[in-house]
Amino acid sequence: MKISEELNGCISRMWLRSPIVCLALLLIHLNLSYGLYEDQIGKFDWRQMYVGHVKFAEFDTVSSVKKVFVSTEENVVAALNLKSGNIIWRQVLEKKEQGTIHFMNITSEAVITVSGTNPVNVRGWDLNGGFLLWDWSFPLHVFISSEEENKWFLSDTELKLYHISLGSEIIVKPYELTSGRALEGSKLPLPLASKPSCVVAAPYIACIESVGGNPILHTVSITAVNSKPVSKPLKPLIENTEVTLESVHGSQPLVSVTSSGSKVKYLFLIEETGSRVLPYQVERSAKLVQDSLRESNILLQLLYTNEWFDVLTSNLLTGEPIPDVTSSLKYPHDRLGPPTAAAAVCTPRKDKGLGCRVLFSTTDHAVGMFHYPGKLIWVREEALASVVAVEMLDLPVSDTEAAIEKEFDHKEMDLGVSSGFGGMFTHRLLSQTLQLRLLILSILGLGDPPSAGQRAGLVRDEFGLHKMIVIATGVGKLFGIDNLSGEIVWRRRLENVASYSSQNQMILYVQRTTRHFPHPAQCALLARHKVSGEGVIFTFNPITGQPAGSESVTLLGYQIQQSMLLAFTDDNFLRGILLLDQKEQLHVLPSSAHSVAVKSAGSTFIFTADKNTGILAGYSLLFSNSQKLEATRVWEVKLTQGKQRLTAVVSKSPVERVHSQGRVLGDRSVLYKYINPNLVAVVTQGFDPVHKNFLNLYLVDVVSGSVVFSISHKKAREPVHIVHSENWVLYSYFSDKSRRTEIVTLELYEGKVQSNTTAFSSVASPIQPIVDQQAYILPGNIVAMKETITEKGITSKHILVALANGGVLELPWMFVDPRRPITVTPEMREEGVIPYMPELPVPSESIINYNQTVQRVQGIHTAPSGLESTCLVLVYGLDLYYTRVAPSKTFDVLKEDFDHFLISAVLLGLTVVSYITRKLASRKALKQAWK
Amino acid sequence: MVRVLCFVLLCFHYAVRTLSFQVDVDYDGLIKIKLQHALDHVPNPDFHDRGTVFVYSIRSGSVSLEQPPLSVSDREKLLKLSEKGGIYRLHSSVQSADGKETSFLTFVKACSLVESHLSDILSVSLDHTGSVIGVSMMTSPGVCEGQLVTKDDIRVFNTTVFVKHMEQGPVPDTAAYIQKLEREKEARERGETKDNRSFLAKYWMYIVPLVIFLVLSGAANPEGAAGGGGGGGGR
Repeated sequence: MKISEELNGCISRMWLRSPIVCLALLLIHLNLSYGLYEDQIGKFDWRQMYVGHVKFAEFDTVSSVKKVFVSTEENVVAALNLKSGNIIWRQVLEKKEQGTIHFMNITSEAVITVSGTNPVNVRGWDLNGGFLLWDWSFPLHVFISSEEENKWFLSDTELKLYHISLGSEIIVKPYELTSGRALEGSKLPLPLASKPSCVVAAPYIACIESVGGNPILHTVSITAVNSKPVSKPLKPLIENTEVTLESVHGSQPLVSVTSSGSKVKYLFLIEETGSRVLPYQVERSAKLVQDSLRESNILLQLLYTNEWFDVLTSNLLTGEPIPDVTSSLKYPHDRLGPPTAAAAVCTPRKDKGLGCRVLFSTTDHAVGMFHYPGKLIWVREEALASVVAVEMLDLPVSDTEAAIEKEFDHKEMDLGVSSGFGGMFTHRLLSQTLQLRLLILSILGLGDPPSAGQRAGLVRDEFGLHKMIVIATGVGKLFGIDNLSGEIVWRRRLENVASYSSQNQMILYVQRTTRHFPHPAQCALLARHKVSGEGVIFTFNPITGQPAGSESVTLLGYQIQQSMLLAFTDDNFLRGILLLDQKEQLHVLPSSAHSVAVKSAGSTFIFTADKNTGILAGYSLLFSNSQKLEATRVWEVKLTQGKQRLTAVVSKSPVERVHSQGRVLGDRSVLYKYINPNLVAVVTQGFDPVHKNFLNLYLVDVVSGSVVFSISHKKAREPVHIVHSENWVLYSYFSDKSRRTEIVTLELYEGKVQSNTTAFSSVASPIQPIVDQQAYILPGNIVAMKETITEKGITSKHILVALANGGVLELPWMFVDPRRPITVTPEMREEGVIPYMPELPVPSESIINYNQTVQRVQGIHTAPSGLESTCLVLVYGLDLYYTRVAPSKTFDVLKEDFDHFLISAVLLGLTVVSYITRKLASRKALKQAWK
Repeated sequence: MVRVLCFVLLCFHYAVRTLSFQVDVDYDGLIKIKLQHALDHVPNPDFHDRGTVFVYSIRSGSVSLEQPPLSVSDREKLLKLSEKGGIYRLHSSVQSADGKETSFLTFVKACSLVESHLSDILSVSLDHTGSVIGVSMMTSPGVCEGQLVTKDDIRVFNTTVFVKHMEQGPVPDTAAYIQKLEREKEARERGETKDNRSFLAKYWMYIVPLVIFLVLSGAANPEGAAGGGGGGGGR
């Protein structure tokens, strides 16, 4: 609001001067209103950094500050603190297969990673700071097709990196580690018949194959010149042909062999002359790690069985157990999935004996550290690096408020007095007596203990700023996070749950908010079963994480095609979920909501969009009856032809409210907004020789099925991001022609008259909106966009733009307003639009996360707070970043530095002075009267 | 474009009519739309032929329609459908010049069709290459007010066909902006931006504070004197 006044003022005052001066001044004004003071850092915001699901891990045994290096599925290389699990340094590599890490190892100076495909990059990272020490890539013909066919071996002493490609023959190619200079390679003379399975057990390569039903182990040295392969039949030990070969990480060339059905693993120590079987066997499921200690090699067996995590230490060569470390620890199986050990290291302790640290990663993407003997030191919930759905919910009311709510809730049942003046009065007296009793009891310490939420401080505050963030992650783990502190309040692991692969999403519905005391809030998660692909549903209380129905997910027995939340609640204030399955059958969950669904069936429509065929179809529930819900196809359009793809379907936020119905023009007339809640933006993309990469955007009314507006762009390609809100659509794409990111805004108006002032109907009078459009240049790459949302929609809208450089830009809608004119007319000036400038400014003051860079943003979630001015923002991706923004500044809150003391002192002073002067005046008047 | 549509909405007096307006598109062609409708209040009804629409040129939007009048039984069915609050579904199969056939489905409330005396508007939406992506139907007027309609009122369809082209997306208008900047620069160099407002209009922001300051400082002294005098008088 204030900004617009400033703008108006600026424009009317200086309209004859250069618009640049005006704009510069304007920017200064805006800048003043955005930035953050130094002491406000971290006051309203927090950031949590993650690394992702661990793929490789290595303990640092060289540098003075001990740490553990990890590289992850999210293409991150990081060093974690051994004691706290905090990130010491983190490097984020390229996205997707461009940055897939194939190999990680450490030398005495650097962490080496091999990553990417075409080209494959070899990078060395500084152990302590994580700086890039060197970076070279393999010649382009080195192509990583699969990780099974390519092995890597790092020789620390020679500083060489060996690339071993296992095709029809085994080719070894060494490279100088720091420079990448290719050295003389060789073909390994392995007598291989069938496709073998090979592992690297430094400095040897071991392959196993079955010849005539007998498994044979071949070993050959990688580094030696003219090395000769040695073959060893495993016949007496292992007769089964289905054998698994694994190498045991450590200083000695050691491999383990197990056959299917066998309960044990055999260990083979490889030597120049052949392999030697060790005189003991180990448990099949144990993860093996070698370590050297006091000049002797030891073997660690890490075993997870029935909620216990064991470590068994033994002498490597003899198998004799070393007793003082062999111990087991209770594993927190209720909150973490089954673990697999990633790395382990043992060090002699000061007192005596051994201390072993084991880094493990779990099926639910957590990573943790055990210390033996001792305890679980830390756990990092790396599932939060793959957030797929977010909701923010109000916390429940405090105990005292709940008591008041109760008073009004049970009108019918109390003591025979139900309604009427007298009844209410009696009721009030009774409840206040009860409150008094409660108060006295609580003073004496005899009352009911406070509820769990009250104790944890999880109660609603007066401004509605304290919320619960409910997060669903790609591995099917749910989290409840306190939005003020960022702490995980609860977590729940769901088995066999996967996100919808097409868009990597799960659907989180809020079926009942916390407003309906005593009914607890309820959320539902819709996802896909990992194996069968059927839909699954899980209902839970979002404040405590406790399941509302069954303990685990419920299999629905059909695949979900579309889902929606019913518009009306049932008697328990619960909104049912309407599901359309692949056979176009309708289901409603819970089944008690059936009658609610039937009641509104005549006006309920549901639509589907098929990505592959481009068909959008609408269904009506008109023919439903109390026995069965029926979806009848009533409209159908086909948006794509040939090789076009339907890439996005974006509807408006269901919780959005539009406060202002129109826009006041310069001549004081009103241009009414076209606010159609059923409007959906659909994007199709394709390629043809004339238009090159083209992008079409359709605005489709999904109730009537009419294409309201359509627009086409030539030479435009992904990344495409869309924001759809109120009466406007904003989308960005990369322009192939100009090689830059462009933002296009469309604004829809009904005209100078409003067709229906009470409610919008898609069926009754379809009007063709007037569309204003404008294009802008954004100097930056966009990775995600979202509009701000506030409770009543009075506050002006800003667009939050996550940029590829890790900043989140807050862009006022006014800057991308399609009505910004090139030539300023007095009417336009009166209306308050700023003159057109093609390039949008990216001032660093409008970066809401200042220097808290957020990496690889997947999305932004915005939620209204109880304050009209304030919008809560959660940016998620590899990192989580939470903050709040006030698009029209905090007009409804006092400034932080507001001097309460001064103003009360002045008020008090004035009261006292006026009292005294009155006294004095009356005394004077009395004296005068006596004169 | 919108103005054209308003025009279309206003004039629907002819049973068969062609619409013509030029659009800046680089495609043209002929399309034939076969219309079939369903008049039964059942989930999966049978569709019966309603007529055919020929769009001779999608660029100019010239259209001809062939729609035989509704039979008596169909009219009864339609009235019944309207009474039941049912929907009128229209299935259209579009045959383009190259023989490709696509089908679409659209609907209106039966009551609004009946009450508009079978005046309907068919919008044929095209994509950027001129292929049809959707055929949607609306009636004019589009509201149900419950007025009495007899069988004779709904004999012939009074259809308007409207071809909706895709708009060309805007691009950032850098050229116009640079021109504007240059014009301003030139104007400044030539001194043409001479401010021809009056002295007061130009410098009011400096004058007003000065005046206020003078008034305030001027008022402060006499007030003090007057206050002193008043006190003396009181005694």
